[in-house]
Amino acid sequence: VNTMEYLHSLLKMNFRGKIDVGKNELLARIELQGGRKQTVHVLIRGSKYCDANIIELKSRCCVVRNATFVRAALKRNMVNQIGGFALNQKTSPPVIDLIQRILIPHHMQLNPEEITQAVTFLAWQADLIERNSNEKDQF
Amino acid sequence: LTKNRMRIHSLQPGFSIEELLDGEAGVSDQKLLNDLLTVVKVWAKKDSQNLPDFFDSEVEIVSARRQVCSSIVLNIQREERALFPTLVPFKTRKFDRKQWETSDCFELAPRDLPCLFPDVAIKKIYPVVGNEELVLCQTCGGSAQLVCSICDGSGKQTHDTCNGGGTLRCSRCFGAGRHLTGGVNLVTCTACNGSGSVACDPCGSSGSVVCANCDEGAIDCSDCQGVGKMLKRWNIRSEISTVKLHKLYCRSNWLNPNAAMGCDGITLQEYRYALPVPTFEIESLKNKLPPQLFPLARDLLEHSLRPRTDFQIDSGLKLEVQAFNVYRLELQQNGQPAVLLVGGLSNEIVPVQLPPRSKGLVSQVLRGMDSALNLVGLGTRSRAEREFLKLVEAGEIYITDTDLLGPALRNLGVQVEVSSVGYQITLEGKTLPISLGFVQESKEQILLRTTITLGQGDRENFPRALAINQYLETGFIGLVESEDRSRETFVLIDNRYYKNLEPERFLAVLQQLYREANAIIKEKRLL
Repeated sequence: VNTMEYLHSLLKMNFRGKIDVGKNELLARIELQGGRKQTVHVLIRGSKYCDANIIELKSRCCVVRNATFVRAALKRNMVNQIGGFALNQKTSPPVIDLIQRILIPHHMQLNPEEITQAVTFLAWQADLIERNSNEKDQF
Repeated sequence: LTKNRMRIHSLQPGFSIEELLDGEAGVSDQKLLNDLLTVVKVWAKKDSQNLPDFFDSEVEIVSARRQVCSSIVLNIQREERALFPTLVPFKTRKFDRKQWETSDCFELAPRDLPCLFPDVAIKKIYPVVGNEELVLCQTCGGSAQLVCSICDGSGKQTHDTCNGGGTLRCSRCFGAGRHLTGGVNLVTCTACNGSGSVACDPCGSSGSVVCANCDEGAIDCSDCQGVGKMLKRWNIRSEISTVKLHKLYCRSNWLNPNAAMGCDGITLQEYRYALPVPTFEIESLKNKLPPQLFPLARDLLEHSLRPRTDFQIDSGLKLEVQAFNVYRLELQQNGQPAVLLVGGLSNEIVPVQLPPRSKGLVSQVLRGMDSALNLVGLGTRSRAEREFLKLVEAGEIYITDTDLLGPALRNLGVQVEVSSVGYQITLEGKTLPISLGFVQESKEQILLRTTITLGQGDRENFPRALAINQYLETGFIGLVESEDRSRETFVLIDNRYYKNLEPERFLAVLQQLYREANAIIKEKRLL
């Protein structure tokens, strides 16, 4: 049950919006309250350290305008309820992503409640930051 | 509270000097209230004989208020000296009879007096030059010799071989005087002429030999070593100890100024002085200490510092400003009110009001029945709670860890030590310590915060650190400031909900986090 198809069905059941699915990843454009939308990128990859799969949820939050954003994000990582911020330098200007990773050892199964809660929280949190930094619904 | 009397960070966080004058405030943080209730239950369990029946299992917190208390803690390094003589055998033939010009023990044996403020008294002995004199040895009365105790002064000892008789049993006939010859004939022994004994040659048949211990019945006196005179020298015995005094300031008057928890706080300021300093004036502290503490400090200093004498000196002074939280808990047990104060780093409990203690046989029977029912899981307290409180009391579990995660990890082979915020964890065969902290996130949720220190948080590496977060498998790099805000450190952090955490899965996370941290440090990704 730790497959992308399973994740796809799970998200389709619990969220409204467009979902594009690939072999090991999917892109869900989730509709939030107030008509806003937030894109969550879901990726499954094997761990390079142990016998486990990692489900990575990633959602873009904001554009980095100055160095204060970077320091604030690093400090915020200490108090984040779950997940953390990461700098994406591949874009120009760089952006900050909110990421949540769930480690699933091979002998264990994914908890559907855990994944839906994580996606909800991530999309809501990323959109909140986007709203606070820029009124547009860009991501 | 615990074996090690360790600070519990949630109850006693850091304080700033500005906070010391804050008034009392209500406590609504659920984790804090739970921690306080655990403190009360552990205390009540230990002191159950003096409390109403079932107090430890039935007590509930109705409301709690908090007050920051501050105190001035005075440490005086005091050295006391005493002169005492020692007698040594006068073998050198020289001695220093020059009279001392002073009786001041500190001038007779001058020593540097570093401000050590030892917890345990430091005892030393210093030799003093001069004032030496010769005295007759008290043991031998000046004769330099003593009567030999082995031969009692005779110079002779009983010969052991013949036992003082001067003869030995004949070895040929074994003392019979006759022996067999040719196997059949009994003949008179020719060796002893039929007497059965022969003369003892070593002692010349006298039965005694010269005493090997002495010289003609006398030995050298062991005290003066055969000199007869002793040299009286002088020494100084020194004992450096710390006298600790304190006065406490509690704005709400919950505690009196001399309450014991006054010296059990977090040190916010510290001033050290080497004494006696001619320029040291108590008034000079006025601008340094918080205003509410200066009068207390002055009072303590005026009554505690002793004037220097020939035998005593106050050589150092350490003034500490300490602070700690005191919680006033309004409790109830079966509708009966109780009030307790909990405070200090050791979470000392001061009862203010307790419900009346039930007496008599019925109460004892009830308690006995409850204990028996508890053992089979049917009493007023669940088995898990009993186990939890027992572990808290033994200092083996963190006060918030009601789900027994620490012990569960220990059972999985992890080294788990209780710390002020949660646990310090060392994975088998690994060196980097992992810190586990319990954080109240919301009214219902407690977060488990796992951190591994990665290194100094240099500003130029901030973007690199945040970018690494894209490629990690577990955890994120975060930035943490020291309490005094002087430095920043990169840490690998993982936050997750504490409730319903599976220990085995969490151990996998810890191992993964360790590998990530180890790789970041080894590959110098943050340099």
